[in-house]
Amino acid sequence: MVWLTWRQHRVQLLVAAAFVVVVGVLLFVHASRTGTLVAPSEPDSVRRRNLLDSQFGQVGRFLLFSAALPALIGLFWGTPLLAREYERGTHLLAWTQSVPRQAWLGVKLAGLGAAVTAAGLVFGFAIYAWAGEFAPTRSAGRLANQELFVSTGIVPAAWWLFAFAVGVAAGAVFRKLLTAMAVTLGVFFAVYIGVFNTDARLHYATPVHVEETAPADRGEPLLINTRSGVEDRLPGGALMAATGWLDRGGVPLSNAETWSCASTSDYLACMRDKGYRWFAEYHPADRYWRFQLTEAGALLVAALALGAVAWRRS
Amino acid sequence: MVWVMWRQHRAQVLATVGLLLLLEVYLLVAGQDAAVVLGWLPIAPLLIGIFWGAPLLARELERGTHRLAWTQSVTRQRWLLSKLGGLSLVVTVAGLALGLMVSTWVTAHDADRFGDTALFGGSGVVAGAWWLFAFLLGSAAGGLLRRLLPALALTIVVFLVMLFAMVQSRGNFAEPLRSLDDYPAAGTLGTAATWLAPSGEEVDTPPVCLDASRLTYLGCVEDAGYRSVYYYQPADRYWRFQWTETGILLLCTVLLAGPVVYRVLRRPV
Amino acid sequence: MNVLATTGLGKRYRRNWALKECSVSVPAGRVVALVGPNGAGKTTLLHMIVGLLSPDEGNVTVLGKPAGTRETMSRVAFLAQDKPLYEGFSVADMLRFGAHMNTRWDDELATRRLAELGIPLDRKVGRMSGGQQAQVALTVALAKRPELLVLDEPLANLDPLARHEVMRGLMAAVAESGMTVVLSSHVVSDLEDTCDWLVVLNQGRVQVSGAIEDLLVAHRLLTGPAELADGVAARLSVVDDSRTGRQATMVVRAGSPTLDPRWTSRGVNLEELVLAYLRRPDAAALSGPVLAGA
Repeated sequence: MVWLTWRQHRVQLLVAAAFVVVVGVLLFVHASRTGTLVAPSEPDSVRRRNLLDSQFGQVGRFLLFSAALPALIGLFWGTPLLAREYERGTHLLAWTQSVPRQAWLGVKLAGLGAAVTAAGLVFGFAIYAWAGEFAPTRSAGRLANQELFVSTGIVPAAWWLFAFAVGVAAGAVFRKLLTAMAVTLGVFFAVYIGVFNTDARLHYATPVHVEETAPADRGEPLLINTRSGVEDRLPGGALMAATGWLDRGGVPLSNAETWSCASTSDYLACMRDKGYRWFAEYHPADRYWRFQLTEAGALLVAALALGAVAWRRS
Repeated sequence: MVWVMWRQHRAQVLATVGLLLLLEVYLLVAGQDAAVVLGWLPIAPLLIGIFWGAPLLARELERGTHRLAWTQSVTRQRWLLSKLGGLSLVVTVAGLALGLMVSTWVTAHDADRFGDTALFGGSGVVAGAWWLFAFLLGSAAGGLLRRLLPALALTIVVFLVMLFAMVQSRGNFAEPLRSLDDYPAAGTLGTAATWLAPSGEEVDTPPVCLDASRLTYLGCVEDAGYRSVYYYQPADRYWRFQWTETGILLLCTVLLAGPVVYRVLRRPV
Repeated sequence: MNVLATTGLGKRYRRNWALKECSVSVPAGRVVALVGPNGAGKTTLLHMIVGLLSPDEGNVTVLGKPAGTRETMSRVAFLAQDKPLYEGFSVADMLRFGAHMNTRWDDELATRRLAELGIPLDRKVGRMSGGQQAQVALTVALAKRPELLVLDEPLANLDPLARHEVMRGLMAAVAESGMTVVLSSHVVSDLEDTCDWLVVLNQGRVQVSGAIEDLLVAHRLLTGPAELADGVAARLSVVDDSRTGRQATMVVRAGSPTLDPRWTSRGVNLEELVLAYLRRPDAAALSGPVLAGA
């Protein structure tokens, strides 16, 4: 069975392995080049930040495409697993040998699932290590930068496995390769974009709430306006959940109230004179692993459920 | 002939029309909020390549090459060719419909149809060109490789390379304008930003103020006599760029897909 | 000893019964022809025998054990309709597939058989002719050294020469190993020389099951004047009765009754027998041959 799994899926396995290795090597080279360009001992300066920012951007702009990887796994690993057998009638051949159908499916699901997970983990930790080189830059926060969050650590592996399971289940239910592929793409992107668009990640934990202690606090402002860098006073790399103003009773302001000082020259002073206090809700950077485990766990449960669907339908 | 085509491809046609209608409803309901979803527009033609293009020839060739002896190969070639032509037309019209939808949305919400990569490729006439390109790319890959899965892989790879190359080179379709001090107005396509040194030469990173903090940097550099320079394509070049990109895509379609499709149709199947 | 026995077998697709109250049994060493028109439920029955489908009613016993278990399937080989093979595999890969997927696998038998047929091992399956693909598929089935070999329309889509070759190879293997074979077909003439047991399946029900030799002896074809036909039909067990103008032709079950001299009586051949039953789907539903096998 192991031989058969390898023989039937070796192209996918080799392409994925080659891809992960190439990405790993490129990132390693890029990270070490960055290391020589920007000496770690160098004090935090604009030059250093600019350099790191531009170095980060060289690779960072491709991070968006990492969303395509699980989709490709679903298309090329997941859907053909059963749909191609059904389409060609070879399931009749495979399932009438001495190896029972459950063993056939079990080895394929477990073997390929493990391979997908392993490839995803290598990919995730290659980017994790690479991103570590850019820690001082704001864009390199592994939690705050959502594109980094989904392409580092264990979450990529979870998404790859999830997409694989979507593909297998779609193949088991629809039995036609193209139909299963269309369904796989639809389901995967609906979930993926859904997680981004609904800000689901902000609810993985209760955010930390901070606010200005007293309206009269005129010293160094605890927080300054977003545009001029609110986060500077917040812990670095935090994932912002909400920011805004509270009135004296601690109730968030309405839009009209928030804009009531917009025409004054000193917005902050005006707001404080009215007794409003600035507040922010955020997830500190050290919640990265907790969030990773939450998302990976949810995806793993979904993948197992989809695996069960495939199991029952075949 | 038209009926046969419709009967064979109605699932794809209906799915495409259905998705376009769904998108239109979403654009109307979501309004401004649709921007995030529209960010995925550049990938849309790829779906046409995957579900319309690649299966067209790959499936025919993958199935029954040895089971059925096609004795009327000339008829078959003509049949395939007219199918290719007919579906190209449908795909192009659908792509143009998407372009119209996005253009309408852009006008209604005053979005940046030029500076925004996704909106530029998804609006106007170039949307139709991208769809046609993806369709013929998929067909060519299917005809060349004769098997569906490899054809899909090739389609995806070539399309992404093409998309990346096009997005990178878009700013160079014409000589950009230069703006000193003033940031170009909204609706333009920015291509580069540099500093004009007091000596008159342009530099990317002025060799001054290296120790300034984030908040004081800009003021420091300006105090040192540097002025911002911006290169951009003005908003009224939108249509010129649309037609340029359309032309490039059509040329690529003819150069890339044309010979393969032609060869496949000539080769005995 | 019965190699294959089904009792009250039924399979339903949504609301239609593809197979209903199907009871057949096949003694060891027989070559069974499963005959019936398209859509009679042949494939459904075969798929239940090899465990691809589970019955909604009744049960199947193969080699004394329930169908489809791991143990049973190591002794049963199945060749599905259209003879599916992995098209990207080479012939050698197909043999490795068989070796990896089966507890009993005779690699020597497989390579020898392919060598005799002149099929190179390094050839891609998808590039071979239909006849060669059929031979590879049959080789993969035979190399399991099955005690029961089940073939679904093994001769469909083959040219006459390939049909002959496949059939000859199959018969040689049967003679060598003494295995039981069940093969389905909707073309009776393919089976006449090779099979010795007949099962007729029609509209999801078993009409006939028995040794071909006995069935042929037990049936006569009568031809005579139409005006006497009713009288004869009343005395005999008629399977099929067709009248054209003045002449009546009847296939009857009986010994050799004394008849008016205007009648001629002769033995039937397999095709006539099968056609007679297929034309009358209900006439023979409870006839002797069905019970004889049950």
